[in-house]
Amino acid sequence: MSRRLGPFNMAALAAGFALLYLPILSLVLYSFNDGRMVAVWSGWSLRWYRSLLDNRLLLDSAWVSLSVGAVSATLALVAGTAAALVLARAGRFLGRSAFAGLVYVPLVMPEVIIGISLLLLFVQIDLDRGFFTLVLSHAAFSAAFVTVVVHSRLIAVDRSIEEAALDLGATPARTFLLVTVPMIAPALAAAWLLAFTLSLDDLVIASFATGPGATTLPMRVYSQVRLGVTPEINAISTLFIAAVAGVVVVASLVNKGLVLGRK
Amino acid sequence: MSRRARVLLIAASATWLALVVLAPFLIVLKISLAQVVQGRPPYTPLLAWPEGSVLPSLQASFANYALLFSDSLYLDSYLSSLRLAALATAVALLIGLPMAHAMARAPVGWRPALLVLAVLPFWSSSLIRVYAWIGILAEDGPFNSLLVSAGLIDRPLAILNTDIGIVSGLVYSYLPFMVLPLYASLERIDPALLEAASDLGCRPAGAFFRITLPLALPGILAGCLLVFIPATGEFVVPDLMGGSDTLMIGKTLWTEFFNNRDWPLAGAASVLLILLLVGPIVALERQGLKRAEGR
Amino acid sequence: MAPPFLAPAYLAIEQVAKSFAGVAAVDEVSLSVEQGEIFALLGPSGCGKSTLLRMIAGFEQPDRGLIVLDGEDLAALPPYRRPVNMMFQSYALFPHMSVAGNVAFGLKQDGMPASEIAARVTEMLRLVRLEAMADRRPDQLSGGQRQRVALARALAKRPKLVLLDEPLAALDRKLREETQFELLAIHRRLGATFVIVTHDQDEAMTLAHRLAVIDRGRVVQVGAPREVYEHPATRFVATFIGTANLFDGVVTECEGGVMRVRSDTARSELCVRHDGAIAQGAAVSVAVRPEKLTLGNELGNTLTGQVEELAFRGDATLCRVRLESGLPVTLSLPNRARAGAGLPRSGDTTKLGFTASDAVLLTS
Repeated sequence: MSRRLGPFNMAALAAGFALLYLPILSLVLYSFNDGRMVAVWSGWSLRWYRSLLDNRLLLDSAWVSLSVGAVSATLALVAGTAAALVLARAGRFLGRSAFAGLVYVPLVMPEVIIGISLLLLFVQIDLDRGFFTLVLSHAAFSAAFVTVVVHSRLIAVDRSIEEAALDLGATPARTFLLVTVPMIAPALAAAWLLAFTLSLDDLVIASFATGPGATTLPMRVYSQVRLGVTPEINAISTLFIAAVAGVVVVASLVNKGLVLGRK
Repeated sequence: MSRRARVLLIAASATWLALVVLAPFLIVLKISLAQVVQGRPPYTPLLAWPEGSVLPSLQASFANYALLFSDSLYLDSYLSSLRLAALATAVALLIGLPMAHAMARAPVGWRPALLVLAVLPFWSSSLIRVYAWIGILAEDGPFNSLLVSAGLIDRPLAILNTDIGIVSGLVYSYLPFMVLPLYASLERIDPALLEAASDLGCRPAGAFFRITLPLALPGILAGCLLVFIPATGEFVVPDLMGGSDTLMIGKTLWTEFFNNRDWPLAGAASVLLILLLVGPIVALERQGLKRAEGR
Repeated sequence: MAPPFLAPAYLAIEQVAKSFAGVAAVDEVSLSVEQGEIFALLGPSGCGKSTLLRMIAGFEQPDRGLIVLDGEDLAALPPYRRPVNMMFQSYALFPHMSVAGNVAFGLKQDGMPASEIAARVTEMLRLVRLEAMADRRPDQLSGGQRQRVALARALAKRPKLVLLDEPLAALDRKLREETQFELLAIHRRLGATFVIVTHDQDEAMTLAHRLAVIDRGRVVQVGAPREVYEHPATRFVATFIGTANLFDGVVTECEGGVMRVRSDTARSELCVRHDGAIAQGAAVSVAVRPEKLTLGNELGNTLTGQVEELAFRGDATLCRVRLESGLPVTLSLPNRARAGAGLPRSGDTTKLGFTASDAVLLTS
């Protein structure tokens, strides 16, 4: 097996990543553009970042996004891990196929339908839309992603290690807490971060599920983009990308166990 | 796990799913059979008690569905959504396959970094990505400037607000969804198989088509479905990039729901969309289930 | 085979059966293990020995039968409450804990005070000669070291019964030999009761005081290694443990502890010592171990054939001789002298012989 990539493969890699990143890089670049015009470069400047600080609406919505993200990610982690445990450990039971089907539905459904269906649920049970419904909605769809991540790690766990714990006197509950959880911890952390990011990114479902006073950052950006493109959008997008990149890097390191001191 | 813990876990998990996945869908179904009215909620209830009667009567009608089938707006939206999503899937496959293949053949030390790089755009808002893509394709954007300065065209192309623009936007948004399952599938292929092929006299190109590709089929299928299904119902791309001419069902649904406030019709349109996608959805679920059983 | 009603043995397995999807993995097995002995369950893969072991440990429930340890019925107890500890085939070390943490785990579950735990852990690590590795993680150890940690962990609680699932399978040959003797020494030190599951007859014979040969879920023979080797009860045992040359034939005469068997494949009438009566005309097999055959015709039974292959094995030379009937026979000639004198050459016609008492008569 050759160690180096051949020219065709290298070209494919370069082209693919260029396609993915050039638009984003140009976005980032123009956030530092002194002028208003997107196509004309007027010099380096932080003015758009500074004006961001004065944009109360954007900042408030950023805060909403972060808090909704954190709460919904935690809720999604619990719900998604429970489902993963059922699929990986509960064996056969009546309705297992239906259960598994329902778990993966949010992964395959168009967002508009998820949004509509959740809003209709809230209307049906007469629940006022706002922060709580937003958190619930984000958790509803990101839990499916959590299940995928945690489940794939759970089925890879060496069952004989859990049996060894039982054999040595640990009850099933203690086995789960003392042995299983530490072994899947990186996956749990990665799943939480994934749910957090999904919540942060979401536009469509939030638009359906939220109410007055709980406007998320994507929603705010979306309404501004429709009105007209300003470089402030570039600035907030850049900050966003930097934040997400930081989160992803942290997630990768956690997954390698470096941060949690596994190696 | 102990019997009691198991029952509790299944019950709790099933309750969550019933509440946030099943119930919403059932309500959409119910509403699709209702009529639009003024007021809160803006639709007729399913059961109504006529004057002096103890038993309720069913208020259900298929009027909304009839409207969907007769209204060209909806028919065109569905068809063009399927068409554009299919195109986008094909293009994404053509771009994603070489990329994923290269990633799977890269030196092992590079792979985690490559994977992170491929995933990163997915984890930044789709809104931002579409916005960035619009910036590139705009009439005064870099793409046009490049073509003009290279002398290939005289005037900037108005790519936005065209089908090509939308397909490119879809491809750009969903490319990571194609690359990841492809990569996972390709990476699993034992390099020894290709060495054996080469040993038996097969050229690299031949080996790719006769060994790599067939073995990567599950990944290809997963990637195509993961792009096609959400792309069909995509809202942001057609809304930001399309004009009033472009019809995609995601945008039509949104408009019906928010602008026209015709929830029952939107509900029926949603049910119809799910039915349209039921084949691909079931196929994808089967893939997911296969993995849930541990392959 | 053990009688159905057992005198109080330390571990009594009575008529235990277990089926998976209609197929019997363990089929009415009864065994008794004495306190302090090393007992091996030996059989080919899929014979049910691992299932039996897991039932003793508590990871599978028998469909029928009793498992009683030191007077206590184990069936009512979940694995975390049985006075039984297991050394897993894959070692199953906790990856997120150190060696000391692994060994201490079971002691912590029992609520032992920390100072006592520390002392016991040190004692165990000293027993397996790993004191220097106490703070290492499993992924930093070699295969042999991990095996010793798994052993120490299984012994730490001084359980009434220690189960070992293919303890030496993952080790290479040299390490296996060393570890066999270490295991015996540790067993002697602790006076524990071991039940070992293995498919390797060398391992079983080296380690066990007694062994049970298991085939397709049933116990075929129980006894000390020498007993089972020299007096196999069935053709299966004869060929599974060591090699055996089998000559099928028919009993012509039965007198005074000596059977005469007319065998077509041997092209002669064979004399075999056998206690017990067998009807004339009964179909039997005469089993002779390769090392019991010699060249020449001075012993009671003689065979004639042509030498086909010779394989030098270090301590012996294996000789394959094809008899007139076409049956291949294997001889093992000890390598007594370095010069290798007395060996036949390929193509030579030769006579082979064995005594009546060196052969075993098998009826099943």
